[in-house]
Amino acid sequence: MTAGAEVTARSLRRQMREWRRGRADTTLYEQLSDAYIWVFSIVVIGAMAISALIQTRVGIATGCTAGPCEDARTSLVWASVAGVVAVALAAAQAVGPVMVTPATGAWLLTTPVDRGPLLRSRLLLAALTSAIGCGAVVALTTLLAGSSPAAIVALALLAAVLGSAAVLAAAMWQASGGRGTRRAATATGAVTTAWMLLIALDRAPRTSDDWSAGITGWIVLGVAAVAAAALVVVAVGRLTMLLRAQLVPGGSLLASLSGALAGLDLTLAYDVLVARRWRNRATVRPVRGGPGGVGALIWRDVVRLRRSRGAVTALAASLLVPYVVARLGLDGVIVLASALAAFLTGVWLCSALRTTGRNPGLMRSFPMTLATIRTATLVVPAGALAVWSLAAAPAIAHAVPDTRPGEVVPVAIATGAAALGATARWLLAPAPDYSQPLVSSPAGAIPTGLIGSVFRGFDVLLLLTVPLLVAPRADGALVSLALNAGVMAFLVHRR
Amino acid sequence: MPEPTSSSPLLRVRDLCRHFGDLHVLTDLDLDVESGRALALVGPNGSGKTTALRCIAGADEATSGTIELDGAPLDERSAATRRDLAVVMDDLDFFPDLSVVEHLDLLARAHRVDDPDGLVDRVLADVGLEHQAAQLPGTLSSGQRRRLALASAFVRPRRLLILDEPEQRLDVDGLAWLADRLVAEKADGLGILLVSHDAALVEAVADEVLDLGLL
Repeated sequence: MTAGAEVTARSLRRQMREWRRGRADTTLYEQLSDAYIWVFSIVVIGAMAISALIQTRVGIATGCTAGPCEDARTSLVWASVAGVVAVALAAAQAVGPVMVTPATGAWLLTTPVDRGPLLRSRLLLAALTSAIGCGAVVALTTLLAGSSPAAIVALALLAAVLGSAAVLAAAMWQASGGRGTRRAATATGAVTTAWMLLIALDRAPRTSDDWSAGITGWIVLGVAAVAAAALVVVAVGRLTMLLRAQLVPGGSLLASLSGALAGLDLTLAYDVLVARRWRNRATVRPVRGGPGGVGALIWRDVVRLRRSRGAVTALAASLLVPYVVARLGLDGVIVLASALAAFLTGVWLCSALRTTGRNPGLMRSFPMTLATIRTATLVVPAGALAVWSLAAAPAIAHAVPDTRPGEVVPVAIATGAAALGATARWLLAPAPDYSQPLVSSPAGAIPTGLIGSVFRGFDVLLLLTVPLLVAPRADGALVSLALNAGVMAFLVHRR
Repeated sequence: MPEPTSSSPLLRVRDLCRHFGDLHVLTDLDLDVESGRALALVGPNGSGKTTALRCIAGADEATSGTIELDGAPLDERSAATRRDLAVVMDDLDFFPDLSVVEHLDLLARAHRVDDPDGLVDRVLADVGLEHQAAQLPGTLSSGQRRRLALASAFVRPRRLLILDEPEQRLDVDGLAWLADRLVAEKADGLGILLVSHDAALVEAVADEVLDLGLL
């Protein structure tokens, strides 16, 4: 660029594009040719997934013929629309939604270039991503709920528009610190939870999605689209008000998460999210005292439990899953869905297990063996999941033919214990070992076990719920608990 | 816990070797640390100082050689060894959800020290982190994190201190405090093994200096 030439956002983007293309050593066609196995696999797995979804839809439809069950399915569709909007708002709040990488923040945002055009494409990309995500989730829900094809399309489009509108609104509020986004996310999250609660209690108002496929649905969709377009104009207009400090943290978070996900290291992504959450909090009211020895570690987890209201609320909210699944008449999957819900929410109570598990320096500071420390950090999560199991027992009873407490309670306890086993498996997973021999793949050399690391936790969850699915009674629960004891013993003693 | 023998030093290392393939980082390293004395490992980057500490602390596995604590093989898995060995190296991280004072309180209580509250308060004042007591580690500066790491070694019982470049990221006052503290630790009968690039700290603390660059 010659001195004195006008520097614009467009010229900077063009120059960066030229640099990138100049460094490319393969064409897109060559990349796709090399990746033919991946493309082939995606097509085959995609076809299988679609077939499985249609089969599931048929299965759900045949198993759900009573009025309350059908009402619950339709209600769930609307709850899912509210839910995806809540998630879109929460994600937008976490990353910005408008954000730049630290490099862009340091090199481009410090130049005397109008930031508006630089940030516009990022905002639109975020809105598009949200639209695709929200639309896909609601399409899946409506498909499984047995809605008509026209209703599926209309509701998916509506969710897509609402999802993008949520991100655009969050961008509008970003310059003022994102308080509006936080409030909106909390409100829609509360609405979703309340709705799910009403479904679980069979008190949900009677709803219908038939109108969404007709002219009324398209009018609503049109109005929502016009509102979203207006939000685009307002949000783009406010991009120039954004401070660098409001743009870079989200980019840093996304870069860290991308790094973890690129290595298929989901536990590293967990570490990133936990670290960010507590760094944002900055200070706490210190709690001192408590017992000595191993008891000190357990007591600290009790303090954490009191401090982590969000994690406890999430675990409590996940109790809705077994009750909603039971209300939908899907008795055969209650145990699996319950264990999965408890695993995905219970894992946020186990930060001590994860921190000590990945941190040999910290472990050395304690005067106990590795197994003792790990066992101590599992005590409080185990207690919380035991309470969760007992609270879920009435719903899990739908999956147990003999509903006497002596049969139901062991199954419920084994379900919660399966979630704990899966959590331990997931959080104590060793990082991918790049010093071991690598395996050749179309995507380059990868460490052995890297792909399998994605399924860690879920593998143990499946292993421990199979006895409950095959024999949903006390003896099936005993087999599951015995397997669980073996898994836990191996995990806590592994170096 | 192994029975101390009158003839054996607190820490004895013999013929310690660490090879990474063809790269011989440590070859036949011998060293002794007596109670109440400090040994400093010095030398240029890459001379194997940190590797030696990592092998002794159990963070890395030596290719060959023996490491004895009180005349018995040092096994970092044993609870007794963990009680006696206070190690501050770069691999020490913190709980993201516990404050500065809670970290020290947890360690003091886990080691069942007498009067944990009083000890934690004294150490907190010593390392100058009183005003950061309620802060979470993610918000500390690198120097403050280093002070917290050092404090974690002083709120627990110990017989041997292993420190890897403890002067890192400390300011001038911090360095002076560290030197005084380590001298006091020696006076209390502790053995100290440290790696340092700070000549003044080595001069103030070490009774013996082993230059790995000359081996």
